[in-house]
Amino acid sequence: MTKFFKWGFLILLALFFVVPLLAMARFAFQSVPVALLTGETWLKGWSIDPIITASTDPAMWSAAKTSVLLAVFTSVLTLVLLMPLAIVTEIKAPRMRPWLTALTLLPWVVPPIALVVGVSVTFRTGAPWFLASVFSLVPFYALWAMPFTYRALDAGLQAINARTLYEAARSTGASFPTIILRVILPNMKASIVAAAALTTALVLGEFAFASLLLKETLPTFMVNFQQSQARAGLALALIILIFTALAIGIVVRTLRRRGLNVQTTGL
Amino acid sequence: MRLWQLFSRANTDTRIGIYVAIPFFLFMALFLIYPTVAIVGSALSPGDSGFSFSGLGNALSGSYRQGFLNSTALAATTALIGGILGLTLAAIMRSLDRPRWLHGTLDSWSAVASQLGGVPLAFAFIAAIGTQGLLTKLFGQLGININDFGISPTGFWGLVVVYLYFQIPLMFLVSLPALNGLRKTWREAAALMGASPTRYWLQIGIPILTPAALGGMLLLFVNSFAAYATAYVLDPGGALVPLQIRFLLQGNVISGEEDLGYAIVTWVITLLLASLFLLTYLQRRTLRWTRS
Amino acid sequence: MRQMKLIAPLLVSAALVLSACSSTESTTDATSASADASSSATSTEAAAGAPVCGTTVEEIAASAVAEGKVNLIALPDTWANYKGILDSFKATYGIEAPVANPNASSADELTAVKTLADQPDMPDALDIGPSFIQQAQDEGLITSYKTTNWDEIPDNLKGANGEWIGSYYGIMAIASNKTLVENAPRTWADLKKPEYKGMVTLNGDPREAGASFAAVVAASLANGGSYDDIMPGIQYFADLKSSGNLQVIDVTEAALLSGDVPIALDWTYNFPGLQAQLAEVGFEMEVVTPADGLYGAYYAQMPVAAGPHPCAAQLWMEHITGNEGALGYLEGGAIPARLATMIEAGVVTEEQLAKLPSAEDIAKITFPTAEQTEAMKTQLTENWGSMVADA
Repeated sequence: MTKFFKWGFLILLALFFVVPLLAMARFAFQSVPVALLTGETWLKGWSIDPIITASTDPAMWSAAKTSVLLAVFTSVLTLVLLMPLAIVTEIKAPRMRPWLTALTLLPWVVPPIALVVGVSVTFRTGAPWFLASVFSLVPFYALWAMPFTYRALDAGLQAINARTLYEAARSTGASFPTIILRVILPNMKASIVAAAALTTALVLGEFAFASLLLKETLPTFMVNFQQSQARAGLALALIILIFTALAIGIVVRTLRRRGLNVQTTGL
Repeated sequence: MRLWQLFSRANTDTRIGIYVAIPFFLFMALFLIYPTVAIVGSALSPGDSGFSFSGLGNALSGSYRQGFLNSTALAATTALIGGILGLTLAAIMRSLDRPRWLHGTLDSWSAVASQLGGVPLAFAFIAAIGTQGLLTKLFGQLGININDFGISPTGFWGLVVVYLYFQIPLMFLVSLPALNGLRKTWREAAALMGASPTRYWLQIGIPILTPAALGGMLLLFVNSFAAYATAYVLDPGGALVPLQIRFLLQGNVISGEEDLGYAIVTWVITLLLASLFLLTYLQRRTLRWTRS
Repeated sequence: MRQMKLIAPLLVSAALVLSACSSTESTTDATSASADASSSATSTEAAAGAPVCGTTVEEIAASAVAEGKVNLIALPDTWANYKGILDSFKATYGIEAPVANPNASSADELTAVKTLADQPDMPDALDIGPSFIQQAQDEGLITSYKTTNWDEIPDNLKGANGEWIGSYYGIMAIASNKTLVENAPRTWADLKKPEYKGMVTLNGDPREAGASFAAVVAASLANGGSYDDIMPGIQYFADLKSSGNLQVIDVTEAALLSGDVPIALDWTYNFPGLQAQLAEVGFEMEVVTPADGLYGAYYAQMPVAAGPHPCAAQLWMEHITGNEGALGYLEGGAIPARLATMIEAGVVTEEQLAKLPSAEDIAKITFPTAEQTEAMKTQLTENWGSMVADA
């Protein structure tokens, strides 16, 4: 591959990713419609009022709070369910690893748009109280977060050579819980953070399930808001996008600085 | 009682295994298996009239058949194009050590963009290449109507373009580990033995990467088949499976088709399950090469 | 202690299983209760079941204040001046009136009642297209209420036993963005011209949205159809789609402001509220009522059966049919149900009347019967998918 090809490819792809966002930003921050855009008007009508409109809407803050809490609860739930299982499987029953890899992939067989149908015949008719709170979304989001949470944990366990660590600690006479809590877990920080970051991205982006169960999360709020406050809605979407990317970027960077470079995804 | 005796007689390792496995399996059973079984059960007993495959048959006829064809075509096309472009991106990034900032930026950007199959994305493309889009206008000034070339956010190729926005980053993320599995030492060894870079790729690189690449594309296929929000904005009444499921959920149906939603979802689950079986198989082939 | 930690997950999961079991036992209430309501078909019994909140607006208001809130759904700010009507409701009675999912379709509203049944944010009152009344009744989602001004509401704008009230109505219009469309189309026949390629936009899918259902009916009238046969209208949109004149996106505020919707098929009363924002970006909409297919229709309001705030829902019904709400509709260009009485009583000024479509157009409006509406809906559901949406 020549240098020319490489950079040409990267630049074209960068344009593909950036241009729609720029077009969206222009619509959000400039009040002149494209049809009336000419040499004279292209500097007119720019303003950051849409951001102010969006950020002063109390409903936005309450939806944002809901989504952040959902992200936190979902991350905790997937970790609580998968962390012990992943550790025990790795150090006690490594032969089961492929099974666990396949099992944790199962939630992707039933995507949100499909599972919502199942939820409407089971929980919605059988236990409507369960769906009353917006936090009833947590177990379902935890399901879809499982594939990459497990992969992040598994990659972490491989990276720290958990089995060798365990045997070594064992030979010093440490008890099983001590080894887990004082040897394995402290070394898993990078995986945990990586899994939580991806889970957060998932929760902040999920629309189908929340929308069809009529829960107000940030993504569903944004769609409604966008329909009544067109420009403010897009400004908000853009800001959330940039903030999420920045937050994940900072997490990845911090991990790298500390020499903790885990592969978060992969099959 | 017998179970308890078995349990108490089991050694510590097995007991620990049971402790950690039970919450996981109960969770999966309650929130994934129970609703899924309910769907499949309803699909197999349409109208509560006892066991029958007729619902499953109906779900593949008429406009629903078209929905499956459209969704499959869309998923396959975006998986293929997105797969090739994402893999190329990953290969290029691996060969570039500098600039370092690009690696970090691309990693975090991909993590966000791969989850971005949402509503803002659809509007971004409407603002760029819609009838009143910025690019449409720019090219219009040059006398070129890009919509004549099929570039617009609606229609099949429009959806393909929009879906690629999250498919390429996803492929990039999932193919990085496989590419990292290609040891630099292999390449050096090949070079030492006089193999050209082309020959190295043809005989070593590509055969080793193929299972991982196909697996990645299958994942993209699954991802695209399930994508809902983008299509919902761009063509709300369109013939795509996720939109038809929503439509049936709303109850806007011809009488006698009330149970079709379950049948359609059953087909979706079957299709995705088959894809993931294939994926797991391919993944184990990759592992043979990349495991240390 | 360490042992405890290992056992904890077990306890949690056991609790989950237990609660799942108990849940299946306590299922009876919501679903079966609503089934009962629907089987007792007509409203007299259902109305008897609804709480008596008072016989005058003041008494109802007092009961409603005690509930504190009315959950509304699918009322966009710019639709028939709902923003003004909501503001006056809140100001007059001091009751909260949150609107969930303002842009929801009529079908979405019915789904919301089912999905949110027994939850605190379940809608209390609906505003649905006439083609959804029957479905809502059949599914037992709504309950009857006769407002205190019942006698002043014309018979064709209410269900005989108070099942619904059509508080406002309007005419299906063709609205063109004059900046983008040089020769604004004036009739349904005009819309077929090649110059409008990619411009004509429906407000939603007619199978789930009342406004675009009305567009199909109006187009039928223009093409030799009638309230008994809307096939010509479905064929008309099939033709528009195959000629490329019909675009697939919805009429939303964003799409109107960006110019993505050069020609909108929507109610006359949906444009006055947008005027200021359109002017700000430099657009002007020309709204015409097509002479070849003039069709007017109401939206029906009614309280939800077993809504969490039944008295507040009744107060909301009183407000939108009463003078204050009616003047709000007028302000937005919608025709309030009690217009004739209000003109007699002298509460409407000439200036306010000028916002309505012309008197001749209003005089021409006839509403289809419930049976006709139901037949039209079936015809549409059976044919729209194969002929238009999925074609």
